[in-house]
Amino acid sequence: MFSLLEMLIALALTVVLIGAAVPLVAANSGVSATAPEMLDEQQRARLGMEELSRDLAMAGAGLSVGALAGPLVSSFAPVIPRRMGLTGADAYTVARPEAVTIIYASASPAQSVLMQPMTSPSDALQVDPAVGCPLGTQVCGLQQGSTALLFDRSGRFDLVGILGLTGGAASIEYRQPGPPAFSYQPGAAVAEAELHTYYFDAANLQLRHADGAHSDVPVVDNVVALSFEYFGDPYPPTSPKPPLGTANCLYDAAGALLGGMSILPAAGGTLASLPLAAFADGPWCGAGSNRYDADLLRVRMVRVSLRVQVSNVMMRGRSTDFLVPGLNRGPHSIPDYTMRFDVSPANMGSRR
Amino acid sequence: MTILKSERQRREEGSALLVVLLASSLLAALGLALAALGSVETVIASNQRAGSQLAYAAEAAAEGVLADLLTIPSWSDVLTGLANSRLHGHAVPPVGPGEPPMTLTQLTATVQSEFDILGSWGANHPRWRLFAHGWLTELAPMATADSDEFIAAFVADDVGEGDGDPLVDSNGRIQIAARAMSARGIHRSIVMTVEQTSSLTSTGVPGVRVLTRKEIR
Repeated sequence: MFSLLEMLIALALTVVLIGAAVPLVAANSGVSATAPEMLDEQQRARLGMEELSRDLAMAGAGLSVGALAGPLVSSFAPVIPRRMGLTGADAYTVARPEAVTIIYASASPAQSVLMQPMTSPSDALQVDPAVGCPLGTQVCGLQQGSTALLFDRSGRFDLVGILGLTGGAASIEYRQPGPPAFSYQPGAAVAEAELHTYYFDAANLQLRHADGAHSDVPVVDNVVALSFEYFGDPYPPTSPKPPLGTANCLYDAAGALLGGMSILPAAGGTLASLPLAAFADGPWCGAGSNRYDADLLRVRMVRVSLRVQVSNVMMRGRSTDFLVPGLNRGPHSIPDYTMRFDVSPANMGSRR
Repeated sequence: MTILKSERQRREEGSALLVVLLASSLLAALGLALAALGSVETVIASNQRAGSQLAYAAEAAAEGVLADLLTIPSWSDVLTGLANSRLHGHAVPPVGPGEPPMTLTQLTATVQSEFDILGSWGANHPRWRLFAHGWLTELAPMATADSDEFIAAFVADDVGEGDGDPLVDSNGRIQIAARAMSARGIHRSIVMTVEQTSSLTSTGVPGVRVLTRKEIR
C-alpha cells in the first residue's frame, strides 16, 4: 500500500502535470479543429482560381485556318460580363460584376469556313472540307453534342449545339434564348468552341459554371463574394472591320471609322481601367441577344477577386473579417479568405 | 547486494513500460495525423507551383522560338531543318520517377503521335521537327539557379495549307509546340499557329504574328 507521503507527492505531481498539460492540449485542440477548416478554405479558393484562370487565359483563342484566322477579339468580344447561353442568360444591356462569359475556339482541329449560307435558324451547318479539315471527317470533325462558333467580319457571332450529322451537314440548335445573330454567308468562320460562364450564386453561396447549353454546376462552395474588374486598351478598337457596303458598330458602310468612343486614361501603366458602366452604354456590336458593348473589344486584362468562408459556422466570428457572420465568440475563428489575381489572356494581347 | 521484492511488486514489473508505450503511441498517432495533413497540403502547393513554373517555362520557350523566327526569312528552312534555333543545349529530357529514359527522337515521336490522334491531312499532314531544346536556364540565364525545367520546341507546317508538301511553307504560316517538362513527370505545352506579316523588321525579315495560342495540359 502507498504511504500518505507517497500519495501526497503523487497528487501534487499530478496536479502540476495536468496544470501544465491542460493549456497545451486546449491550444492544440483548437489548432487541430481549425487547421483542416483553414486548409479546406484555402483549397476551395485555389480551385476557384485554377478554374477561372485557366479559362480566362484561353479567352479569345481563335482559328488557325481561313481568312478569319487569328484572335477572336479581332472579330467580336470573347469576354463578356454577363451570363450567356440557353438558360439564365442576361439581357445584352446588362453588365454584372459577379459574372463573366468566356469564349474560345477549342484545341480540336474542327475549324473551317461555312460552305452554304445560313439564313434561317432551321438551316443545317455545312462547312468547306477543303479549308483545314482532317480527311474523312463529316462536318470537319464536329461531333454530336459539341458546340460550334460562327462569326464573320461584321462583329456578329453565334454559338450553336450540334444535334446530329447527316450527309456532311449538321443539324443545330442555337445556344441563346433569342433569335440567332445573323444570316451567315459562305466564308463565315466555323470552329468547335467552348463557352464558359462563371457566376456567383448569392442564394447558395456558390461559384457556378455553365457551358451555355445544359450544364450548370457548382464549382466552389461557401463563396461569399466574387467580382471581376476589367482593364484594356485606352484607344478605341479598330476591329472588326466589315466589308465595304456593310456598317457595324465601329465603321460606316463606306469603311470610315465611326467616332464616339473616347481615348481613356491609362491607369498607372499601359492599360486603362474599364468600369462596368462602360459595357452597358453602347455602341452595340453584334446582333440579337449576343449583342455586346463595343468597349468590350478593348479588354486585355481581367482582375478576379474571389472571397470564400469556412463552411463550419462555429469557426466564423462576427467581426468585419466575416462577410457572413458566424457563431464563434472565442479565439479560434477563421476569417474569410480572399484570393485576388490578374489574368491577361494571351490571345487578347497587343499584336506582335 | 540483492533487493528483495514482494510478490505484488514483481507482478507490477513492466507496467510502467506499457503505460509509457501506450501514451507514446497515442501522441505519435496524433502527431502523425497532423503531419500528414500538413504534408498533403505541402505536396498540393508544391505541385501547383511546379505546374505554374512549367507553364511559364513553356511560355518562355514559345517566346524564344518567336524571337528565332524573326531572324529567319524563309520558314521552309525551319521545316526542313536548314534553319535552327539558337537554343541547342542539354539533350536528355527528364522523365518522371520510375519512367524509362527518353531521347529527343522519342520525344519528337511523342509530339507527332499526340498530333496524329487529331486526324489526317493526307499529303499535307504536318511533320513535327525538333527546333530547340535545353534547360530553361540555358535559354534564360536569369532563371533561378534551382530551376529544373527542360524545354523543347517543335515546328510543323499548318493544316490550312494545301500545297501537298509538309516541308514547304507556302502560306507564311506554321505551327509551334513548346513543351516544358521536369523530373516530377509532369509537363505543360503551348501550341501556337503563327504567320509572317507583310511588314518587315529592321533586319529586313518579315515580322511574326501569333494567330492562336493554346495551353495543352
